[in-house]
Amino acid sequence: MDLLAAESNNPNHEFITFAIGMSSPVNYLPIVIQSAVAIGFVALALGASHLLGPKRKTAQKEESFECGIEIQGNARYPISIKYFLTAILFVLFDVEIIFFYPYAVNFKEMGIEGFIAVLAFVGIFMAGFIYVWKKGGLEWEK
Amino acid sequence: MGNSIFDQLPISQYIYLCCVLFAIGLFGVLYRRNAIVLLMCIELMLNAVNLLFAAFSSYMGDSNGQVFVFFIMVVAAAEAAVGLAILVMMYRNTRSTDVSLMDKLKG
Amino acid sequence: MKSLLIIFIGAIVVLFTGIKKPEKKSIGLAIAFLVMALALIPFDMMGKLPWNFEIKYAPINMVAFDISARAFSGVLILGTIFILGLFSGSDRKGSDLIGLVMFSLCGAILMTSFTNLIMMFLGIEALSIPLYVLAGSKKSDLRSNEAAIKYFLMGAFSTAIFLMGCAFLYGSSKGFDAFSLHDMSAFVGHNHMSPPLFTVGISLVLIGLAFKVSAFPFHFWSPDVYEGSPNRTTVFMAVIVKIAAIAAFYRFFPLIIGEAQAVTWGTILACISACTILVGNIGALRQKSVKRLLAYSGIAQAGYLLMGILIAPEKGFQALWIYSLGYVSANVIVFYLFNKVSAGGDETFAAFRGLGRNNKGAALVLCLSMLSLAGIPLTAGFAGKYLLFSSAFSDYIYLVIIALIGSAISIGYYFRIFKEAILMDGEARVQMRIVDILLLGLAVTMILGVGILPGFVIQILQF
Repeated sequence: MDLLAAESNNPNHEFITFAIGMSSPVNYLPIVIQSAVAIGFVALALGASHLLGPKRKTAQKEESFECGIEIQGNARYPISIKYFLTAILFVLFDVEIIFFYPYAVNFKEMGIEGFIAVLAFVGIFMAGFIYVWKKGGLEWEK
Repeated sequence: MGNSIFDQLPISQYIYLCCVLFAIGLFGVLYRRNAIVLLMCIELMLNAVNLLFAAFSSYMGDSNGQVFVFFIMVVAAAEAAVGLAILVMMYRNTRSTDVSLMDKLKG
Repeated sequence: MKSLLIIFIGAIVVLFTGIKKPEKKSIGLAIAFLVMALALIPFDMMGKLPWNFEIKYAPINMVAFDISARAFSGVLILGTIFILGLFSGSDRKGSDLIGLVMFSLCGAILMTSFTNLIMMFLGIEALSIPLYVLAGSKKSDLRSNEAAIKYFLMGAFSTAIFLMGCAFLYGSSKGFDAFSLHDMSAFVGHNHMSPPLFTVGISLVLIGLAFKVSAFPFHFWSPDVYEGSPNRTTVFMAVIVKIAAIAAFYRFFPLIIGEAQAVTWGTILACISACTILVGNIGALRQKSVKRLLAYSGIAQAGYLLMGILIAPEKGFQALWIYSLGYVSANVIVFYLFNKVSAGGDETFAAFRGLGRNNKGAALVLCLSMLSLAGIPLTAGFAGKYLLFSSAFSDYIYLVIIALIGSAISIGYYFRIFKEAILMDGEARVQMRIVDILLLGLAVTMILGVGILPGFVIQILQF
């Protein structure tokens, strides 16, 4: 702080505070406190429930009691390929939406030219969608 | 002057971080054998690149870099879709995703 | 731009014809679109741009169809017409696969015409992603699966490296369009600096491109992938991908390498080229499978093509163009005949046995294309090699000597195919349709025409 006080007449004062601030660990303090609080809370909650909670385990208690059906087999069972196709199509169409964000931000500036470009994009997009649809990529029961 | 500490990190820190991320992905591709892990490593490499582009872009106040990031994300999704489809095809035929089983092609 | 749009629309139309109907007509439709695109190339935007994309004429667009872009995309479209026409019987005929081939061609054309790293990246990916699918299009064949997964992993890996290079270039030159890259390389050369970000960026991008052309340290994937893929996809990779990647290399290299640094990077590229020629030719000698042999021969050819990037842009462009015309036609012929004779499943040299006795015409055409690949005079291969070697001779004399040694080695393995086809007795037989004969005739005309009158063919570029 002495350094800052001494330099306060210097025209480069602002830059020097910036340069010092950059290397000073003080500015990291809020983050450290915040992460300490976050980690501490989680650790405290988990530890408390572990210590305070009763621990009696039997095979019967692990089963579902009067809710749902009996567990059969392993949870990591290979699921039908239909889910895969739908998931992939979802991801693809979802990610393509990303191009609408820049357009939405610059909607006014881009004017009619940008509108035509986006229409062309949507057209190609729809062509892909119709292809998937007609090919039967979206049919569940087949 | 920046209000949050993120504005005050020098660009070199971002470059180091991205290089480390990229290297993790790169060594993952070279040393792992499970095809799904390989795919994840490649995605990690691409995301390191995205982060670097975004960092440079905001550092230089030039938005072109972020446009590049959009394209990388979309292309990476398409690539992952095709890659996963190839993996499913491989899994159907061999019941495994281990790439070291792939040794039918030898000269 | 017009031809690119025509191909893109054609690809969508071809995809949609295959939804319900049987798949017979879509090849004709696709070829019609491609011929239209080829005819539109001379009318493409921009009249005469200088040979290699002079910076002061560069438009602000992200693609520029200057003369080198138009010439290379002409070769690429012509090659695709050959491939679709000649290999219609080999793979599954599905119009979805033909649509993918056309989408891939769109990517290849982008790679010849970019002025911006975004477009280069999109071109590489649009070229590669359909090819991952095509390589695995024989779904129940384990070899095809393996080729697809290897090609996919290598392709995605090299793309990631390429992108890291782009990010570094962006950070060091404050942009990734032609202007900023060119300014940066001029600035670096002028001040005799080597800024680490810029240098690392260049090397990473070059590594990514070297993967695509299968140049020396990054060539290991190509024999496996070529062997496992269906024949039509293999020839597409051997011809279209290689020419497109070389065209991208040709466009990128002078842009990013300032005059002051040309010596350093030129030496590195010359070493890569020499190693690629040697590795490809020596590797080809000990192969049994014809497809692997052609893969190694393709690696060697990539080495010769890299020489064209080292020499001055205008001469290099002419030499590369002539060489790629010969390369496309000769490779298409060899793959076509191999595809026909190996229909029984035998993929070794023995498949060619008896061709000379049963089909004299086919054997003659095979020999002609082998001679062109080996670089014997009066063929297009010789004209291309002559132009390359003579212009590289003054600066890179050792490279030229190594390339000559490589050519001498290559005669050895081409002669083995020749021997099996002409001298041995066997069952090889080729049934040609009229379309096949027409296209083969065109390819033979190209080999001989370019070989005998290379000066006249270069004149075509003046349009």
